[in-house]
Amino acid sequence: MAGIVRTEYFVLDTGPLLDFFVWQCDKQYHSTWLKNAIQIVALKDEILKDGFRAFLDRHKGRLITSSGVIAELQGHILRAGGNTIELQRRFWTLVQTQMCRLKFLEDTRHIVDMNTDMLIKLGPVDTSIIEIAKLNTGSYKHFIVLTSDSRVFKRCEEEQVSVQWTERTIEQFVKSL
Amino acid sequence: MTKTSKSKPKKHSPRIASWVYGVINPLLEIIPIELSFLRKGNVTFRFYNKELEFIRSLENYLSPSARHVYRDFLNANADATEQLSGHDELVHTLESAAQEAFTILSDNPGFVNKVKCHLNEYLSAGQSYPGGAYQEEQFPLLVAEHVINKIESIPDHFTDSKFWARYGVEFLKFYSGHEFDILNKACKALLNYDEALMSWLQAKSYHLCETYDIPAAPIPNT
Repeated sequence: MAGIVRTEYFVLDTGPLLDFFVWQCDKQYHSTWLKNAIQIVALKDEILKDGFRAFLDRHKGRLITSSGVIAELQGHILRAGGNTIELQRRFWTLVQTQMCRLKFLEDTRHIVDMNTDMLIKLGPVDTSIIEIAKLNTGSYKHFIVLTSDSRVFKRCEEEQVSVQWTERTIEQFVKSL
Repeated sequence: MTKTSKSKPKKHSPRIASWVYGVINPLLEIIPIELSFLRKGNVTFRFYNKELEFIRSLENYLSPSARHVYRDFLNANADATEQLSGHDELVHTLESAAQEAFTILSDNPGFVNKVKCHLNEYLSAGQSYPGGAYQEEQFPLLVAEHVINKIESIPDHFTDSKFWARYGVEFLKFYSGHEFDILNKACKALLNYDEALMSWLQAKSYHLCETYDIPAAPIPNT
């Protein structure tokens, strides 16, 4: 059984992606705008940040998120005071460039198809993340939700959807390098 | 190692609150999920890595930021170390028992032939291959995994849902013999332990909330 190699796909929710883009924005534009306004949740230190970037590079083409997550980023950016055209242009150019480079996959789940109970408890964005993983799990591909949100983690356990804590996954990845 | 602190926490201690909110409450929420699997005999074993996917050590249920709180909780409470460490030992025993039963089953020519025979019959009836992304030679391993997990029915978004509805009962007859008795006992041992652990966690939470006058969950700012 040691020879079984499974292709893993990672489903990312808003937390780690936002952390990543905030960090990248800070690094690329030497601007403290986002860093000061948005609290980084999962990628707390430089090892984790560099580790996450290397992790994304390693899994290029096997990363997926929902359109809702991307839309949610906009809400965070606006709350951070990023309502000038210049800031918006910088941020979204960076997001497009990175997602293109990483061959990020994007999926849409329709609200009418969502599990109502999950929708009530978690809202449409987290529900879409879990359902993307769940439907693909049914075809025995290995889709793993990466999250820093304990509600998402718990629901994945309930739904038997593979789930890992973002920080732990990155720590293990860094150790394996 | 459990240490005894010289200074006793005061009322409304944030440290005590962190034990309740960061460790006890998350465990009180997640252990019932573990119990629901165990009550069905589903140990969530996966053939591709030989691990239990949804039955984890307690620390792995907690968010990474809570692990420091978890260690502090264990260090400061001798009774917690005693109560919680038993869980992880039983999970390890259960995983070993599942691995052993899986090895015996997947090496059983009678079982493997039966899977192949039913798969051929199923495909001959015009149905599509039920193993999804798994190669056909891995399919007996997937079926063995279902037996180890005592799966009675598979949700219809799984590619082998119909296959299992048709043949699952026959495959579950292979859940017998010495290794499966050990697996069953290990599953029941963890189930009983979890039930007792739930009671202990509830009592501990109440005791801490009473003694240190803290709410059982954070109160949102009004």
